[in-house]
Amino acid sequence: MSVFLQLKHLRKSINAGEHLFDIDEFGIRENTCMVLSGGNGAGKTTLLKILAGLDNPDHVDILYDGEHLPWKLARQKLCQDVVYLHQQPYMFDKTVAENIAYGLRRSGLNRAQVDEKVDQALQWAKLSKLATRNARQLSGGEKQRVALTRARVLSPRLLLLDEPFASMDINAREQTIQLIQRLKSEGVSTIVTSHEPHISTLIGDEHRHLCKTGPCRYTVVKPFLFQRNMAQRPQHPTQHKTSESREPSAGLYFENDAGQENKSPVDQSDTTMNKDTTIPQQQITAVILAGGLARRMSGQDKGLIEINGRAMIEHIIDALTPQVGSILINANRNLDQYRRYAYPVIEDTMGEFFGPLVGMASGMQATNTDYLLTVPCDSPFIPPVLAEKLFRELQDKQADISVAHDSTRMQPVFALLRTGLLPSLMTYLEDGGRKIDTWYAEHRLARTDFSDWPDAFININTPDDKQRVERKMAHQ
Amino acid sequence: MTQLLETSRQALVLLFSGDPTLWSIVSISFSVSLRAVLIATPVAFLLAFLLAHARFPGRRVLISTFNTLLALPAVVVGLTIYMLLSRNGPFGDLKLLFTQTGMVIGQIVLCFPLLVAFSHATLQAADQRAWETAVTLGARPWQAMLTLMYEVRYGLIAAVTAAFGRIIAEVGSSMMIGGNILHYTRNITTAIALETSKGEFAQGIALGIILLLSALLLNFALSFMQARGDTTP
Repeated sequence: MSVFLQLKHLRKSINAGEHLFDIDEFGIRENTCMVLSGGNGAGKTTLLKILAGLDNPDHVDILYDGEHLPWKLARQKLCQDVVYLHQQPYMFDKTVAENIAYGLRRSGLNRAQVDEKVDQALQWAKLSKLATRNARQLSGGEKQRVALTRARVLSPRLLLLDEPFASMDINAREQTIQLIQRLKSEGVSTIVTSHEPHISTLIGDEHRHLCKTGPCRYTVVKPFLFQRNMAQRPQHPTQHKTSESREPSAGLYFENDAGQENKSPVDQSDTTMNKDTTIPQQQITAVILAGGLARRMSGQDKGLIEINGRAMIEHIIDALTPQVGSILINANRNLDQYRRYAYPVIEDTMGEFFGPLVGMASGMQATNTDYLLTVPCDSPFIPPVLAEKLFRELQDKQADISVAHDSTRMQPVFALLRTGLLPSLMTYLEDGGRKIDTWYAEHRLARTDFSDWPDAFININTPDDKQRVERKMAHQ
Repeated sequence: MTQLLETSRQALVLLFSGDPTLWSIVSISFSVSLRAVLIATPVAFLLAFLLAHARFPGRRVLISTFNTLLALPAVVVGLTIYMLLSRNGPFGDLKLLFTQTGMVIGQIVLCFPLLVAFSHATLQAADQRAWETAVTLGARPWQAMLTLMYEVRYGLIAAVTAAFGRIIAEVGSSMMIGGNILHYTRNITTAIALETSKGEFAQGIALGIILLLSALLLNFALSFMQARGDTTP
């Protein structure tokens, strides 16, 4: 499924100098349903209106079907090929049938052709009974269906739905989701905005998030997009029924909706897991947090400091490799040097040097596995049982986060987290939160005792530390 | 008192006997005012739409100007146009003074600000989503404009009704520009003024009744339209 519409360097400001968003790259694929999430005021609606040609950006480079277009021309094309649906759709003061015919009457078709298409569309959306009613007198859910049908008869390439589920009951929501699924089977791409992250597990093929960055919410913020890798979702050739998208792997959150008291996202693999069996190593991704500034080491990149002739990160990789399914390196500097180790190097998706939580969020975004193991880049004595112990404690306590504890205090960066926590973490970060302890406290936390591994948390902060560690390592 | 009753009786007789002079005066009034409204309305709507939805320098000044011109006295319009159209005026060669066309021009000037101000208020308050929905469904800008006007049609009709009510009842500009020529430029209001000054009240009262009735009708229509406009969200 190729990208047919690509926007680059999309900038929009509300007042002079105050950026609403600044998006480096945003591509829309054919035949794809994208969920665009983001907090209130993040610019979701404005972004959609620009995509529909209803609003002007300050700057944008558009590639449409591989062709560079100036905005004026692109805008015309977008008006033709893209249909935008308001959160509360506007109904013309006419009958339902006339509302659906609105776009067709202006497309050069003759009267008979229009009538035929409208009849078909009314049947498609099960609206035939309402055809002669004034569209303004319909209920909210019915209006939404009329609006979707009114858009569909034009066979747009892209359909933009602005918070379609915001004020809907379960039934109306269900019907709307079904219509969206059917639109996809007809080759219409859709973007659905939502502030509820779990909508993406119901309908989305990909998930993007419009979010703020910046050290705290009071500074000028520059939102941007990240892409959640949804590749692990089972891809059905056609997805007509919503029931198909409720399979366990995709329905991570849906199961919670179904009334489970358990608030944590529970995957099936958990419930079938027996304590005596080995840990699901393949479902754990380790992320080495090397994104810090290392102020006390005069800015030297800690992960690259050599200890006994090998970079610290090599010692860590050695310790982690037998424990986990895959390894990621989170770094913001010296990327090329980190890439030499042949593991994916991911940069912080939000801002720069905001601390370990951002590194964790970046790790969760980059991985498909159920669990994320985090370790710092400056503790060379990683216990060989780190992942196992953390995981067992997580299972025992039915917790969301399992964090290492060294008899006196918590070691928050040695932790095992469920990757399902990503929406919660993003929300916390966007609200300006940076404190790891505060965020942990919002979730069920299991403290895993590592007092029998006294060296585990030795880290290197000063050149003296380094010498001590080198001596210690030589002894072993 | 008996005289007042007697003249009223005569007025009713005039009304129902189909007096040709009386009805020629009435038809002139309506024909001139209808023409003025018909010409002024499309231009006024277009301008009001631009004032409501386009952004250009001087927009606010224009809006204030039209709101101020709402209070324009008819005699001032009459005087200004009289000077422009008179033999020595810049448009004297058009020979429009003391013609119906001249009266139409005067009434256009009178009702135009009212049309613009009222329809601007209506269009300004129109749901922005109507425009966006029309455009996103493939309407060209002018089609979307017509759709938007259709959506707020009751408010726009109310503006037209109010404008017609104003010019059918004005006397100043019709008197000065039209010249009150029988069977040509004598309309209801100038006739009433003339007959009253002559002391012949019967025709004046008959014409006054017609004017009142049409004003009543217009106002009923107006409040009906406004009620319709209010109930449709």
